[in-house]
Amino acid sequence: MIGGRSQRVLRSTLPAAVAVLVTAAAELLLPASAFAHASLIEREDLPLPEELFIYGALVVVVVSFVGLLLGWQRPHFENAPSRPAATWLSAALLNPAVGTACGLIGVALTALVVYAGLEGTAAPDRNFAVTFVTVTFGLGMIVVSVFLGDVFRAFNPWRAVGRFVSAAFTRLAGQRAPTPLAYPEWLGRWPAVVGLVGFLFLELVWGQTGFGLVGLEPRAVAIATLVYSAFTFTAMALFGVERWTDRGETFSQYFGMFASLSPLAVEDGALRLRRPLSAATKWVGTTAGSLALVLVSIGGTTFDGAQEGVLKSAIRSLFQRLQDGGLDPVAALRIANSVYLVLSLLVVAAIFWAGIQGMRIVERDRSARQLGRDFAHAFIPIALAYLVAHYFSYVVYLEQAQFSFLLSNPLGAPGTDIFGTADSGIDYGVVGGGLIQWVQFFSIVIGHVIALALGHDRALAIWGNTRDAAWSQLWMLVMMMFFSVLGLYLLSQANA
Amino acid sequence: MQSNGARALGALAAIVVLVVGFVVLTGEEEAGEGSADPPVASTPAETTADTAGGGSGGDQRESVENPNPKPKPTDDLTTIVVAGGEPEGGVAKLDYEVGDEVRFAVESDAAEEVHVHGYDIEQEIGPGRATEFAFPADLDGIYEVELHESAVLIAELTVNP
Repeated sequence: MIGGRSQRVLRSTLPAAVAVLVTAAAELLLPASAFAHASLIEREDLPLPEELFIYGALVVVVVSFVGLLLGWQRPHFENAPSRPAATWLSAALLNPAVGTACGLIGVALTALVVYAGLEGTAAPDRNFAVTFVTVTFGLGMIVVSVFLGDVFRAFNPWRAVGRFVSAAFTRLAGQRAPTPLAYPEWLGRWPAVVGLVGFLFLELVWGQTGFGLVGLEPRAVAIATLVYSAFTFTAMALFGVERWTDRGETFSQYFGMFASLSPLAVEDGALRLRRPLSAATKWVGTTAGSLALVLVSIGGTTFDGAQEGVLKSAIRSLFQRLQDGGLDPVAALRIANSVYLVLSLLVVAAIFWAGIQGMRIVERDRSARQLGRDFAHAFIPIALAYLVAHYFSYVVYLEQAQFSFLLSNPLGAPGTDIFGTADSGIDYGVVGGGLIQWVQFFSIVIGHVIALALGHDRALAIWGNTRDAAWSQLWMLVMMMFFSVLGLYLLSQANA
Repeated sequence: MQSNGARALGALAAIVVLVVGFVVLTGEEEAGEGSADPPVASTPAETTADTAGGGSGGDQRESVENPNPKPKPTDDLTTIVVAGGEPEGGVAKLDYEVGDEVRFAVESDAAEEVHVHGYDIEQEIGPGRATEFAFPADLDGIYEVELHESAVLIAELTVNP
């Protein structure tokens, strides 16, 4: 789906997307049936008022035009300098003892996930494994990365084990562990892209509820963790621990993407402070698969939002058709959801490429592939905005569970109460519906304004003059308007 | 030049089509909400007795998606009838504002337990009687009302802020 083929992808996906959306609209008139929701929490967010997405798009347009074009003559983020953080802080955080301790914590938590998943209760909401992997780790680590940088690197259980094994090998064999294969440059971050799609599949498709499915089963989480670990250790043995962590390991890449927005970085073993957002272009670099990772993140959240609103009836009707065709309900539900997950990813990719094609008016010498790489980083804040908007309340509720009853009773076994908090529940009143809606609205709007700022900055760096930069960014603006409207629209239709 | 211009125009056209698609879709849906939606709830209509006959679902006297529902008069009670383990007329929609009192009743041809999620209210239901639920709507959001044993969804409680 890169370069010349983008045309074909575009031509085939866009009409399909429109068809799907129109079908979805038509099918909203069909009777609603009892499709169950996510099973970890009991409260669903109220739909966002519809008029908000018009305002959202307007704000994005006005702010970006006025703010960026008038006062922005030279790049502010590109190659922004960084400075060293206080030496004592650097020394306190980045030493072997802390590194080892973090690694051990990561390994212990992974072991607990597998143990709880296999031995604990089958109820997803009472088992440590499900909430920890999908919320505390899968979403919480994103928040940590954005503020504090690539913290996951220290806690990465696979890297910790890999380093331990190579150190042991070096001591016993008297030589460094060999890496049988050189990591091919063209592979870039693609293994991580595949891994992220797999993670989304596990969460959003495999973890469906309804027809005897109770949501994401703890056992499935444990088995997925074991399978992913086996795969990761094999890859590390073949390509080297650090090499695989820096390129192919899904969560290092996924969290590292968000860490590139943070003001903290580690360079040559020392902690440095940098301008927030300034490392995003460096993160993309010339590494293959970076753009795909950004777009998969956006597409995954899009699908999750659409599942409960815009695409609900379309998925249901495909499910019905598959079931009528003789499939059992569970298989039919999973296939229907898979189809729409893939379609959501394709639609997001298609919109991006449409915008890139527009930009080529300004710079015909740059290939679509080159431009895609040039502007991929600007979409990281959008991926973040989508995640915040869709999962803010979800994280707030489930972290209460994580740090109360799931902490005291990780297996959900009767009678266990380690910290005396096993009987507490989730207080759904802790954030009001009004606050949630404001967070949703502003995260989308601010995310897109930041994205435009990064795009404009990049355009100035590439073209050197404000005029060409502005022209290229007109297309960026179209894309941003589309993504902000899409984001707010999905929220206004969810559970509506 | 030509091909690039054409390509760019094509891309623009595609985006316009998508955006228009969305707008049309929204419009259609708004139109649909008021008129063509099928009856999905038992409405606050029949006062007593004959609800056992099971006719409650089809009677669409008052739109349930009324944007501004008044607190319901005490004798005007939404009744959900469960027959054969399923709610008659589909999943009922219960709409309230924070501060209202949530009131509804459940009748069932078999013994079960009803669980209002989020509010964590549980009551037994059974044949030959209507079990009444009444509690203040103090948490906004959307919550499921389920049969506890079978996990069948019988109503969706929406509390607007």
